Amino acid sequence: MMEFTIYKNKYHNCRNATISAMLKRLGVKLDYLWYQAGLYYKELPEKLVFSPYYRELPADFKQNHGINYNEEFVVDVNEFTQKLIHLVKSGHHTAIMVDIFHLPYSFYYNQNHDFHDIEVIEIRQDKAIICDHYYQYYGELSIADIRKAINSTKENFGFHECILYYFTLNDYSKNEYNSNDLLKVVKDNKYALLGEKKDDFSYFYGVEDSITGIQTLPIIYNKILSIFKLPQNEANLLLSEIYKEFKDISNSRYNLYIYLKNFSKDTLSKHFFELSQKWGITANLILRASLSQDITSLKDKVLKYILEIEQYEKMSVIKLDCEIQLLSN
Amino acid sequence: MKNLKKELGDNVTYFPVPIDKYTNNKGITFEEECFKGNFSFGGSSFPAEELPISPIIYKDIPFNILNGKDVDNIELSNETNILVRAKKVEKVHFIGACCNGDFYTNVDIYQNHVHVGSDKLFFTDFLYSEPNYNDLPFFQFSCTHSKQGKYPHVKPTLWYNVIHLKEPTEITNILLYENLSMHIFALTLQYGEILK
Repeated sequence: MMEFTIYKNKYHNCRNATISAMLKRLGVKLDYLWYQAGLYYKELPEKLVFSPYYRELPADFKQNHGINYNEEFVVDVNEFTQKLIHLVKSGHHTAIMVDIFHLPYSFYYNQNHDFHDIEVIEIRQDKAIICDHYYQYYGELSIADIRKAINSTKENFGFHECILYYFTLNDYSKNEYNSNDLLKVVKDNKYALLGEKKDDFSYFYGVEDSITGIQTLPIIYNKILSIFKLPQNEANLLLSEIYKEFKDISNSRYNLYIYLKNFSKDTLSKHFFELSQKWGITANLILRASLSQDITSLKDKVLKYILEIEQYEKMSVIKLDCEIQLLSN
Repeated sequence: MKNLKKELGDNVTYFPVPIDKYTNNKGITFEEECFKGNFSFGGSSFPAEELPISPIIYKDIPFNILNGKDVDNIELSNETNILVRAKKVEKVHFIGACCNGDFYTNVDIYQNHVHVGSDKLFFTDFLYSEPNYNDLPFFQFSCTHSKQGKYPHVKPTLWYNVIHLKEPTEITNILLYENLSMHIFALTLQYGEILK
């Protein structure tokens, strides 16, 4: 078996942690990869979307880093499993989306359903060697369990297709970053926070009927307020879904903090560190509320933090603009 | 309280502050009662069997961990004002950890109503073994307790951190601001000289 290290980074959701692990092994500089810290809100019939991303990752990786993000979507589970085995055997470490309910090593085995990404490293007869970077597990998982865990994403979350992805580098893949890259990132984040719908901002759920930028925050405030007024069970469920997205927004601010620190932008980076703390505390208050029988006691605390965040995000626009002036001179 | 005072070396005295009046969370469990743990929102906790008997000495500093109590730590789900009444304090040493992320909280120190010091107190997530901030690993466990039992794949950590006062100062209150993801398991005052 090859030497292998679990990639530990708590500032990523399970997908971004898996992506980072796979790209790190290809020699990509991770500290320059994660910088999207926008704001996006859209109400879909089946869920509320809160997101920091303004550009889909496959496009962002290709345009700005020379990385091919190869995704495959297959309806049939058996066909999908064969494709996975073929890819891994041909040398591609491949990530798959599974349901944690069927992962025997998981905290949530036979307890909770949730979709989750793991990396498949090696195939040995009826077993795979997998790495779950998010839950820090490296070891065996039977192909039968993998098949169950994949199938369950279709049965329990309404996905029509099974999802796998792997990465390859372009000939022009990028390994050096300079102040022009920084200027682009600072500008993109400013425009994203102002809610400008630029051509290369390919929001995953589309711009139609969405709200983008700091205008999102008063809407989020009112939405959260209305959720706290719902019957307990409904509110708990919605809050547990929102928690993950707030956590992802907190992570995005932390990753921008790291990105800016690489360019020695200490004052600007500290601002995004503070923002990541505020979003993180709010996310955890929402998680606590989602598990609580008495959500009303947490309502005022959550709303107070959202108001604070709104002030800080408005400051982000000003601070990013100052940095643009500095970098452009 | 005086009998808790521990004198070490020629010129440093430590005083582990009793925190049992402020505790509100069960973060340390024996395996047979691990379902009672509520350190993390999902009910994970630190295994009690692995901790030495208190006071636990770390970097010559004694800490009293309330291992085996119904509640053993302060979850900062509200602002917490710890009364201490102590003279010539130079440093306040903390044992703590965060759940669901790495966080800091502001700490203000008062002498009656006069503000005599403040700092940010940082702690790393309990599920990690490398610190994210200026904290240090106080104790690393071999497994986590979940509601269902032992979980050997994740080895949690209790962290150490310290706040320095500018000069030896009489203090009466340590005010820890709200951050429900942060937990304090012990705090010990350090005096600049032996108190007779």
